[in-house]
Amino acid sequence: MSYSYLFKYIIIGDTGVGKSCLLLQFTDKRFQPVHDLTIGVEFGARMISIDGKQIKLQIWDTAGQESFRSITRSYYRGAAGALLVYDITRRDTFNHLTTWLEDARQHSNSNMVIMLIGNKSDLEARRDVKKEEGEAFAREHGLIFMETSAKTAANVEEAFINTAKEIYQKIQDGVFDINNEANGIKIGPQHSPSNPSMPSGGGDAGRSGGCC
Amino acid sequence: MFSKFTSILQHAVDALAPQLSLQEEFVSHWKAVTNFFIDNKGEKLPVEQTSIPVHLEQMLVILQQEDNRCEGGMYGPCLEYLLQHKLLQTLNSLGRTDYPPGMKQIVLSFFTKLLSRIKQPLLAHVNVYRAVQSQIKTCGEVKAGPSEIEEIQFLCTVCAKIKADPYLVNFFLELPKGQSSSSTLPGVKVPVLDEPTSENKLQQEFPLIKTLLTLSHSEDSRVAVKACEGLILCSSLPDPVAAHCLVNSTSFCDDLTQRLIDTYKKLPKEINPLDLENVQAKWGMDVVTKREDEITFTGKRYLISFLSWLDYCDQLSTIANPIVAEALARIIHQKFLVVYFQPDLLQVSETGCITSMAYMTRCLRTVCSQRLLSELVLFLLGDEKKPEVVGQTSDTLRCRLIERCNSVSEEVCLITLQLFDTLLQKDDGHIYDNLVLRNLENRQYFVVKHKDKQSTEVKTIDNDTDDTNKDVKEDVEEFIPQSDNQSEKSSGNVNIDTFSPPNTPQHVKTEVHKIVNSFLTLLPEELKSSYQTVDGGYDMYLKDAHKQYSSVVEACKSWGYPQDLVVPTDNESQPFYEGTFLQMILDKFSHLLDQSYSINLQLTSVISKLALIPHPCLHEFLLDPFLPLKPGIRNLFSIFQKVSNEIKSQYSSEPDLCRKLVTVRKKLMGNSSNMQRLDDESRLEAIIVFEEFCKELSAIVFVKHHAVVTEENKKL
Repeated sequence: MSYSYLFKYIIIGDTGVGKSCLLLQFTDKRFQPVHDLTIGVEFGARMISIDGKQIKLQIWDTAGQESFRSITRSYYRGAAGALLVYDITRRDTFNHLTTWLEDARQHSNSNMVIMLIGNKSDLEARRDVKKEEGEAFAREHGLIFMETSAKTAANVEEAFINTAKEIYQKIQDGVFDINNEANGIKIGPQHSPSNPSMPSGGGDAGRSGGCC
Repeated sequence: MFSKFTSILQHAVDALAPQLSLQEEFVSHWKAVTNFFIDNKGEKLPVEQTSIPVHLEQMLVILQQEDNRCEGGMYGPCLEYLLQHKLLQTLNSLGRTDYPPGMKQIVLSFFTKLLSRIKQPLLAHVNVYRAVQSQIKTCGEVKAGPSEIEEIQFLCTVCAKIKADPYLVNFFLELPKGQSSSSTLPGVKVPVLDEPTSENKLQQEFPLIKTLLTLSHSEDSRVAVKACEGLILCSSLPDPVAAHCLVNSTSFCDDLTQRLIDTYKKLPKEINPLDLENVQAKWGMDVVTKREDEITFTGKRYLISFLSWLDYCDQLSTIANPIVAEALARIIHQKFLVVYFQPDLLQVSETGCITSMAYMTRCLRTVCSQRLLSELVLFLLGDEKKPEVVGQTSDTLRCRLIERCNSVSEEVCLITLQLFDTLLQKDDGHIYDNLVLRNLENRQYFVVKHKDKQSTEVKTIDNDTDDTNKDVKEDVEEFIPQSDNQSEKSSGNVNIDTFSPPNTPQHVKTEVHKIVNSFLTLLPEELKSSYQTVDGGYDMYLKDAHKQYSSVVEACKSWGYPQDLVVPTDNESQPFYEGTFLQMILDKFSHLLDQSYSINLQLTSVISKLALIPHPCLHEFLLDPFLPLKPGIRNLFSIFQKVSNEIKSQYSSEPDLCRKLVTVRKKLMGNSSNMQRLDDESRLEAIIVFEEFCKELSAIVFVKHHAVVTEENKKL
């Protein structure tokens, strides 16, 4: 499958907040209630469309465990977007956001779009962090905010797609230099000026869900 | 089919059976597993079609339930059963046979889940770590085997556990076979843990590393990247014994270096510098397909494999235990840089040499870890710390590189200057020491006059203020001649000679605006073209200089630069020599008018990097127009004057020059459609470069001065 742009994402946050489930819901549209700890980085991809343009999202799902923290830092480099996830039923995961954010800001490029996600919104009865608190944190740190449920799929599409829209807008505004791959954005084969006659579709570049 | 049926049956039985205790249930599941091997000899069904996975999963569920109930480090009865009856060892042996087919995967994922789901610390238990250790050894045995994914999950889980509790690593080091300690006499029972003697302690085997290295070569990029993560985790353990074992007893360093060599050898033989500049390569799962290769440029994927592997080594070095980082950097130096890169850098073929220089420059940009960078710098420049002596040339890479800046080939010259430019931006103090400082440090260029002696020795604003602010002063990066501050603070010092003409050697009495003006007035007004166009542009220079200077100061903090100038000893028999690098730079600058625009731009970029450095000697040598120099010795400003005189004598009589300069300037800025080149366009371009560079340097002087003053005011 051919695409105009490829955006690289990274999903970060404490262990057990539902990072892998969010990714699975977004790429495979399913929920896995029992999910073992993510060991090391995992990977997913999906095609979306913004403004009539095909955009491939390449998503890196990181391990939340402290042991992997130093490795996660090296993945920030070259990401265009980050989903910073906490669990609305566990306040400690919310309290750790500042550390995550500092880490992300320090090791990523300054234009990286960060979406704050309060996950597990289906567990209203066990809620430990108010929606307003999430909103306030996001406002204070200039992030986009959303509450999602990887279980019911509520807002999951929106979270990934709104982040992409923000990145896309930054490209339109000229904030992101699309020729500099360091920003986590690649121009797809559709855009390639050097070989405009390249047939779109087919080929091995767009194996869905696969590596690229 | 049949076994599927049994499993369903089993569930039914479970449901009907009277409430069993957790332990009974646990044991019954385990019995069901072991019975399978008694009852089903010779069956060839894959394990998924048997009841084994279900029973094992149930065992995990029970263990987890028990784990959730148990508080404070007490093992529950099921876990106790598992440990006492060495279930893990049994599973291990069952996994080894891979019977029924797929059993190995099932066992691996049992281990993985057990380790990651149970909160109680398990790994330190002898019956766990022994089983885990033998399980580790079964991994990576079959290349591209079907169990790769389960293997890597298991290995990384172990790594993460060790990383979280670093002392655990000792359970995963072992003496090579036949070397175990003396207690293994015949008939004597082997102790629980072979206690290694101190000599062979650092030579123990580290099977975890060995398997991770194997899997890091996997064709499946997901497996490979996780293996690389596992290697980072293990290499970053604080335990020095583990680090030594990793370095001494595994092929870790060689393996990582070999991969650098393999990918290096595949690099395209020619490459567009712009492509090289724009390519991004961070280690991870970015694999460039053949198709992207075709669309962008040939060899891109090889370039990316090389650069991302270099980035991996660099990231690993940043995080790794210093013992590991050190060893890896040395091996990379000896086996890769010297053996492969050096001949390429020194080759005679012009294109080959340009490509390889471009690759080296790109490598320098990628490498940021202290150890690896330092090794790269040692490779390029050597480790010499004593001052260079005139005429003493050696056949080193450093020497050849400096010579290349004067190459007849413009391209070679340009790429070499770019290499130095990149080098001067790297965070390693040895670069500046080796290239310039070692020859300037004793200030042999400086004329010591008796009356000056006092004022240079005591580098303070005035003695009164100094006493009160002694502590403060020590922290201030001071490299501006003292009198700047004097006048600034109008301490009423009578020594300020505001009327001295610019060329009198009154360097210590100079105010910053005089220095700034000395640079700005080098080119006569009628030869300046910037006022004719929109951009006078001085603000931009100030802004840039300010930004760059702040980051340079930050980087230099740890380099221990002196704040004060030393007084050179008069009786030094050694004549002053600026060193091959500065000599080349000064020579090249004196030929400004005869060099191309791009060379001149690159040259000024290198000089401004040097000028930003907060080292008092380098500062005065490059930026002090009033420095009293010994006869026959030149500094940057004297070269500037020479160029300025050359320009004046050649062009001052020429009519119409100003208009020509404006035209050329417009062209350089891309504001002109006129493509026709004038006869002496290159010289006119050089004049424009000169004009701009005088502004740039004066801005640097100003910013450096300003920084010192603000810093002082802040502290007062």
